[in-house]
Amino acid sequence: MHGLRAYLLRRLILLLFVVVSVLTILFVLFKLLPGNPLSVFIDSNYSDEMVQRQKRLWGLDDPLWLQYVRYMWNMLTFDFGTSFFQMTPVSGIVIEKLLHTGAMIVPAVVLSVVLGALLGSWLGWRRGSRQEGAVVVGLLALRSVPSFFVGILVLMVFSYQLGWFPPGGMVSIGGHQESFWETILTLDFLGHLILPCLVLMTREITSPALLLRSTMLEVKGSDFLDILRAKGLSERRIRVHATRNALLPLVTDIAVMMGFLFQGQVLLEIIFAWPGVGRELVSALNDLDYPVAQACFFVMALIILVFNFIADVLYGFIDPRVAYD
Amino acid sequence: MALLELDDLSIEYRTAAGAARAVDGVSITIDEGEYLGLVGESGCGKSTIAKAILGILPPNGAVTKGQIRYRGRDLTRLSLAELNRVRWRQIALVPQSAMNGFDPVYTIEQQINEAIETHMKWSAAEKQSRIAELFRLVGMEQSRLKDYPHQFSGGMRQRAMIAMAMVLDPNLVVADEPTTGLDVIVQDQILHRIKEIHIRLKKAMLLITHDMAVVAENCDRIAVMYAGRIVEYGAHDVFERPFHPYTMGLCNAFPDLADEGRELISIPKAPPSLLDLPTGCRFAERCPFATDLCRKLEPALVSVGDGHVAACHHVARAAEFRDSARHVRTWQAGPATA
Repeated sequence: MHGLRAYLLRRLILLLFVVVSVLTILFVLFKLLPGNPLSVFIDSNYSDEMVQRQKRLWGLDDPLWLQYVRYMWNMLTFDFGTSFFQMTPVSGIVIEKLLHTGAMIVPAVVLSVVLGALLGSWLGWRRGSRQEGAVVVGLLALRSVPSFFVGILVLMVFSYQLGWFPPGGMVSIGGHQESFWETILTLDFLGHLILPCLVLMTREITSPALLLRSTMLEVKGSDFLDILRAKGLSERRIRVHATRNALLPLVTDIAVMMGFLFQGQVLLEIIFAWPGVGRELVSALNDLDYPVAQACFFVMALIILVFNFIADVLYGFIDPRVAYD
Repeated sequence: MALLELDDLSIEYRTAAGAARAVDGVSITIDEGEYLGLVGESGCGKSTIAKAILGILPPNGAVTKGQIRYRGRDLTRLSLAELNRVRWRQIALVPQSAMNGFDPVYTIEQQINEAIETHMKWSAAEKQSRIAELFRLVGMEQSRLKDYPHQFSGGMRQRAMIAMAMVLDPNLVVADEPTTGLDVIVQDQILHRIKEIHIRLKKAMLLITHDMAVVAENCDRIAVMYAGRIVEYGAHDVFERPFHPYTMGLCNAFPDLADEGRELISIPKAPPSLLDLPTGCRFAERCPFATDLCRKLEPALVSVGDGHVAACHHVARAAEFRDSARHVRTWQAGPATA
C-alpha cells in the first residue's frame, strides 16, 4: 500500500500547516488580550529601570518578529515555559491535567460508544416498533438536557442525600499514589469517577446511538442482507453484518467526540471539582497565568487535530473500499 | 421424483395503492436433476417466486395461498430455525444482483466460509480444499480469495457467487437472472458454467430469465409466466410449437442464430397493472388474436401435448396463430377487434 504512505505524508503536512495557523492565531490573541503579562510581576512602585529589566528578562523588549519566531519554536518543541504561579514547567502541569481529564473522558467515551453502538444497531433493526419510538424520544431528551444540570441533580441525589458517592474531586484527601497510573487503579478513584462518568455518558451515548440507528436504516435495504438470509444465517449474525457496514460514520463521530470532550468539560470539572485541563484553563485565565493558558489552548486544539487524523487513517481499516489516493 | 413443487402458489405485496398479487395460483414442479427455465417480462413475478422459495420476500410481501413443497415439506410453514437448515444446504441462490450480493466489508473467502460454518462442522483444511475445488470449477484464481468484492469485476463476482452457491453441494440452485448487468460475452460464460455444473453434478436448477434464447439453449423444461400466472409450461415443444400467443411473441423478440433472416418483433404495450387485473385473459389487451371470449373469461391451463400445457381459449387455432405471429404487421395491428 504505497498509496497509504503518500496519503499519510500529505495528511501530516496538512496537520503541521493547521498547527502553525492555530499557534499564530493564539499569538495574536494573546497580544490583543487586555492587560499585560507582566502585571503580576511588576509592582506599581517599580522604577522604569526595574520594569525594563523585567521586560528584558521575559524577552518582551525584543522586536515582535523575534518574539513570534521564538514563541513558535518553543511551542512546536513543547517547551511551554514556566508557570507564573506554580513556578514549575508548564508542560508538566498540562500533562498532569490532561491525564486527569482523560481518566474521566476515556472510560466515558468507550462505554458510550460501545453501549451507544449496540443500542443504535438495535434501534435501526427494530425500526418502526413502539419500543424504538420510546427509546428515540428518551435519547433526544437526554441529549437536550445540559450536563451541568444533570450533574447537579446527580450530586444532590447520590452524594448529598444517599451518600453513596463522594461529592467531588478525583481521589479522597491523601488518596494520591506515587504515580498517576497507580492512582487511577485504586477503588477510591473509581468511587470518585462513577458520578462524573455517568453524567458524561448520559449525553455522549445519544450521539453514537442515533447515528448508528440512521446508518443501519440505510444498510437495511441492501441486497447482500437477502443473500445472508438465504444462506441460513441467524438473525443475530445478519445484524452483525449490517452493523459492521453501518459503523464507518461512527469512527469520525468518536474522533470528534474525543477531541471536543477534552476541551468541553469545564462545567463538569467544576461541578465535580475534577482537577482536569478545563478547570486549569479557567483558573489560569483568572490568574493571568499566560504560559499555562497558552499551553492549554494549544494542547486542546492539537488533540482535536490528532483525533481527526486518526479517524482518517482508521477509515481504511474498517472499510476496505476506502482508497488512499 | 419431484424435488420442489409449487402448488397453487399466490404471493401478494402490500402497497400504498392496495394488494398487488405478483404471483397468482402458480403450480410448477422441478424434479431431481432437472433444469427448469422460468421466463417472462420484468414484473411478471419470476423473481418473487425465487425469493419466496428461499423465504426472503421483502417485509411487505407474503405467501397468501398455496404451498412450496421441498421433498414434500411445505417451506412456507417451517419455523425460521427449520427453514435455515434447508437454506443454502438444500436450496442455494445465485441472485440477480451479484454486484451487491456480497457484503462489501468481508473478503470473498470469509463469506464463503461463513456459508459453510453455518451448516457444517468442517475443519479449516476441509473448508479450504472445498473452496479451492469450487474456484477451479468456476474458473477463478485461488489468489483472489482474500480480495474484497469491490476488487472483482461483475463477471468475477457472479462466478464467485456461483461458487458460493455450490459450496454445500445443494440439491437445487435457484439462479435469478444471473447475468443481469453483465456484457454479452460474460453472460454466455456464466450460463455455460451453470449448464456445465448442472450436467457434471446433476443438480436441479431453476433458471429465471427474460431471455427466451437462453432458456431454449439451456433448459430441459420451461415455464412461461405472464402477469403472475403460468401461461405455458412444457418441454422443448414450448418454443418449437408454442400454443400461447404470448410465448410466440417472446420467441419473436429474441434473435436466433439458426434463423438469421428472421425479424425481431417486440410485443406492443406493457403487461397489466397487478393492482387492477382484467377479468378475462391477462394477455388479451396485447394479443393480436384476442376474441370477446378472451376478454370475458380467464382461460385455464389445458393439455396440448405430452406434458405440455397452455392457458389459451384458442389452442385449436395455434398452428394458424404461429404462422401469423411471424409477421410484424400482425402485432402492429393491435388486439383483434373481432
